Amino acid sequence: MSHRLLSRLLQVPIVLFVIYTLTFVMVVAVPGNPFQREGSRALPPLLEQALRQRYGMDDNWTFYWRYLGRLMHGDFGESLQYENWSCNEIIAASLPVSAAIGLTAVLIALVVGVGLGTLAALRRGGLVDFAAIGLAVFSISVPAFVVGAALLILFSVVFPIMPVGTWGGPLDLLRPAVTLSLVPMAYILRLTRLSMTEVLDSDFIRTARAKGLSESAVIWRHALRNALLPVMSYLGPATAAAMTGSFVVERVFNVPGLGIHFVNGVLNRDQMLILATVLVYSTMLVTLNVLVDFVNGLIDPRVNLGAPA
Amino acid sequence: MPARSSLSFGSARLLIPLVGLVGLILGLTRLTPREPAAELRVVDAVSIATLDPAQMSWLQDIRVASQLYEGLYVPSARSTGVEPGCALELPGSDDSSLRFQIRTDARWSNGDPVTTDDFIFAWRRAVEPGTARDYSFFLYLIRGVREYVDWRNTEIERIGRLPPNERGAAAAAHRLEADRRFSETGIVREDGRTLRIELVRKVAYFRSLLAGPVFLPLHRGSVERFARWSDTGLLFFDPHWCKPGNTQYNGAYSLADWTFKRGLLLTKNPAYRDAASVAVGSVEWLDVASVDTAWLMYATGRAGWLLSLEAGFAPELVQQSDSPLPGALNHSGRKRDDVHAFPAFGTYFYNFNCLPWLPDGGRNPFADARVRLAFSMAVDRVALVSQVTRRDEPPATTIIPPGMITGYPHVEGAGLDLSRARSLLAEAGYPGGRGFPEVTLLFNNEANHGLIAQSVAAMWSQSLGVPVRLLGKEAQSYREDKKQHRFMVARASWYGDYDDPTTFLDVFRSDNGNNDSAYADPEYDRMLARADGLPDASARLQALAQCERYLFNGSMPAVPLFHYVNIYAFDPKRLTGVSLSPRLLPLLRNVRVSTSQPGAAGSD
Amino acid sequence: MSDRVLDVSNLGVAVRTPTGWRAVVHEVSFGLAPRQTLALVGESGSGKSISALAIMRLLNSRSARTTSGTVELDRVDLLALPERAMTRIRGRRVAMIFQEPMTALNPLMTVGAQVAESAELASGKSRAEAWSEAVRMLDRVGIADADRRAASFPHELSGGMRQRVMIAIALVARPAVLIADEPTTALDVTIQAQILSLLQSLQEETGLALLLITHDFGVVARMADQAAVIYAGRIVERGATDDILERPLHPYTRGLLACIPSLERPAARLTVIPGTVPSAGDEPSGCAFHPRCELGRDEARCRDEVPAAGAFADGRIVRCWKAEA
Repeated sequence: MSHRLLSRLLQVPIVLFVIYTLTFVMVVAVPGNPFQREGSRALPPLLEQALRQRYGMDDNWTFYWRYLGRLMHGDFGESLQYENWSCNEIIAASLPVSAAIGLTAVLIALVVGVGLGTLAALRRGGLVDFAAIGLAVFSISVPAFVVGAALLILFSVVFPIMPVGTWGGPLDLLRPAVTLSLVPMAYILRLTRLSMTEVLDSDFIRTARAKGLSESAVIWRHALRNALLPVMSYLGPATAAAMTGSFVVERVFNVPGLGIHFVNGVLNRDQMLILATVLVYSTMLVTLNVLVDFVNGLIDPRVNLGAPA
Repeated sequence: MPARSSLSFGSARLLIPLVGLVGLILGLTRLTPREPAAELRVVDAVSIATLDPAQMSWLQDIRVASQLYEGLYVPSARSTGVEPGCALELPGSDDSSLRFQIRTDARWSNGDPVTTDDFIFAWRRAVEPGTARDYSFFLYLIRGVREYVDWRNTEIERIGRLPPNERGAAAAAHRLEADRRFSETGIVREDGRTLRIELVRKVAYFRSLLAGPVFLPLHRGSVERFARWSDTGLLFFDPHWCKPGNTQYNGAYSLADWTFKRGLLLTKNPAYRDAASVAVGSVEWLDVASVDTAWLMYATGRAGWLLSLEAGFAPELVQQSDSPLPGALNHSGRKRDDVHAFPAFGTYFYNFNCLPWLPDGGRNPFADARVRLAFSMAVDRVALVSQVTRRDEPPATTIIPPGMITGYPHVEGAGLDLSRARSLLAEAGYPGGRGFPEVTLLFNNEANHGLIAQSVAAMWSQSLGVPVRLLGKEAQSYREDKKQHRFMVARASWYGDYDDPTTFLDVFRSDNGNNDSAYADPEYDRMLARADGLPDASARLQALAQCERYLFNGSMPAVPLFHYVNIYAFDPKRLTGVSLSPRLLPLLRNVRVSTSQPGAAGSD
Repeated sequence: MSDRVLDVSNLGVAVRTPTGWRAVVHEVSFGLAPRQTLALVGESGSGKSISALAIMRLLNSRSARTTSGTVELDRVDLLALPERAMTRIRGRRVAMIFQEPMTALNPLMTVGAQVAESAELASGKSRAEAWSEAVRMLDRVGIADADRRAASFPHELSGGMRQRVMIAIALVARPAVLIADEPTTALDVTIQAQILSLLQSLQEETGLALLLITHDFGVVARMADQAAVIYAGRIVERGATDDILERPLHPYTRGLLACIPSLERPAARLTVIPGTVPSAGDEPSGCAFHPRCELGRDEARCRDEVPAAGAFADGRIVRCWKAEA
């Protein structure tokens, strides 16, 4: 198994390099001048040239290789829109925030999704099933900024028990995490419900029942593990997406996370910040996928069949 | 041998990673520092881009800089004018050669006196090719500066073409020469406290320019350490000099803390020359991205002063109706007195493309001034302001907001006149709008630009019978299109930089880089140059008013729609001394916070 | 016979079809004594598997339910027990093994753990004890190197070995009754023989009563003391295996036996019973077999009345108006 894991890990830098190249091409192809701020006075060409030199962005070819070199040293460059901050500082300040909210959101999504999904599978066609599906549809349909704004108003205005726009304590995590958890929760709920239904119909569950196991033991010891395999695969990309922040959630709750930089970076053509955020996200995504595969291999012994010895 | 099943989910084993995860999450939240206590919390709904005065052009950055630094002149609290700052103008000073003496009590936060060298150093940064930005061209009014910059650029290019091993020596020699040349420009050090500025010509409004960020001084001793010279002779500065603790301040406040995307902490500067009159000891300046959350922060009492109310329901608040939300938002229980809408020194208008040909090769109907005039006269500005934007904005028929520049006469532009508009259009060859090509109306997809565009488009198609297509684009693309004149009509705005009509009128000069209309009228250029050069101040203003009249009653390069309104939100019983000046600069040194009620102006 | 350990009487089961509940098992009765094997023989769809599930109360309550009858295990009616009590009996006093060994085991657990789970449940042993018990059982069912093999996963074992594991799971609890639903149908012929042998030896050793469900008369001949032939949810003939094989009384039984190709008459044309087995709940009126029966096809009585279970001299029960001793 370690051979497999090793080959997966070796693929990571190659994948990231390809992503870097593709992103770079898109970033420089998009119309718009990164040095020309929106709404401000026109920039004389000589000035722009000097600025480009200063950032190592004289021309695209130089920029590509120079920036790649900087990346190798862990230097993500400078932000063109937040001129006094380096991309490293920006990411160091915002990634932990997004990660905290993201992890909490995934945790909530997992607990609620698996719990309700299992209940719904057990009582197919009943009230619980109906309510669970209803919740899933609601969670996917209602946009995050509506839910977020509603939570803000509900707990800061109608019941003024939580402050607006603060960040620092674990309580500040709650509302953004709940808002962010809705969509993955819906997917996990539906996945679990489907998977659990299938598993509960399978032969080995019948065997387990025939052994005289109580229904809850059947679910907990036999059904759950099997039913959660597809959920595990979903968790990899879902966690990466959650941990790198949601633009909408962070905006509504005024959380200093990474999500805002993805969008603002593009809107302002902040080229190095775009590359930095994309690479951070890609690294997390690829790593989490490898991790999920690894954990899958631990849980499901069948996975290693056919792997080179 | 004990049972070994694959990763067993026995309860204990599930609990451990779960607890670990929760611990990780809590740890991550602790990584952000706690918020500091402050007497006053101020919220601006936009993020700080930079705190380098030589490079700033956004209003929110200028707002902060005006608390930290004080120039030769400072913006007035009452008007768009200026008042003396840390220096006094000496007798013998006139519109082409100004002499200043820096006050003896003008000091940096570490006690160092403010000297001429601090100004010269800062102003050189403002024009140097490595650090210059949007407003550096103001310094070109000073004798010799433009030549210096051109020379610097040529030399840098020349050195850049040399083989790498020769560059070092060439750059070093060039640096010495640069220092010498700069000392020969019109920025003259008479002594440690006396500064003389020689201009290329008489500039009536130069004093007003001196209050701008690009003319602020910097503590040379601190900032110098961050200078970096490239091997081609380009001068940069490590941008970390702006971070707290790296430099000194001569304004009413010092920068005590700056957390990225959270906010700044400003503390009273005890070395400030007028520190005794500064009432608020500490201010937290919050950075909030969402306009609705910004409002909520003010409304729930977390912030005491909201610097721009842009939420979608702003018009309702402005109408001073009861709060739309239940709960304790409306502190006094009656009509609100905490929403303050006031006129700003800026105008919202639509540029016409004045080039003879359109980018697709077709003839440009707007090249004909009669067409432009017709379109302008078909816009019902009053309806626009009362039904679409609804913030009590003054409708505009001219570009300069009235009553803000002292001594500037009232100018009327062409207003709503449908019959005249139709006859003009017919005269130009499009009776009833027949044969008129589809008009593309370009705007950026933000705020209410789309709504305004729809209304104006409807007015044109209904009153003139011309087809209009709305082209809403993302901000940067919109900017690109405007720069390349890829539009027929485009949304625009302009805020005055200084207290003189030329700040607006210069935009329409044929050689101005911001002339998005590509309006090239030699007659106008001549009028403007002649008016600007008049020696007598009031005759000059009258002549400039003539220029404005000429533009907005005849040639109409743009259609002014309305003048901007800014909205502050603060409780006037708790916060006093707030100036509603059109420059939109909150001068914290004049503000007082009433501590008579608990959790006064913003609570923890 | 009063020393019966399992006594099924008048069992009726209905299933839910798109058109409502339909009875698929009618008045099924049989009994089992210790050390005895009863084969429940029938084609697919005859209701034999569902009867077995009904006995174990493993029916999916949404789609099937028992409508009548009693199932007495040591005189206790299983059908009347509350679910909690039934859970205690299931797997411990009466166990079941199924047809598809390939899918009947949990792919994520080692076989040892799955057997040990049964042992743990049955006797409340500790983990370690249960594991040893499991290894012992695996060895007993013929898995070589049981100690090491117990740590393997189902996908690492062949079909035959998996079925052995199933047997181990079922018998480690030492039940009184084992229901085997077509245990060898999915296996190769040689493996079949091994499994059947194993069952027999285990039966000898433990005094197990075996209800063997099959469609293969070869298996019946080899394993069963008693046989019950089931058609369209009804037992049409029941009695000692030897008697039935030698002299089948019910036309359906006769037909079934005639269908079996014989090695002694290789070139003869294969016999078939015309027609097809009726689908669930859609049985013909009267005797369900009558449309396919050469004796009853045109008989009014066979068409109108369900034959009663007639008793015969050698202890046989036959449901046929036309059966003669």
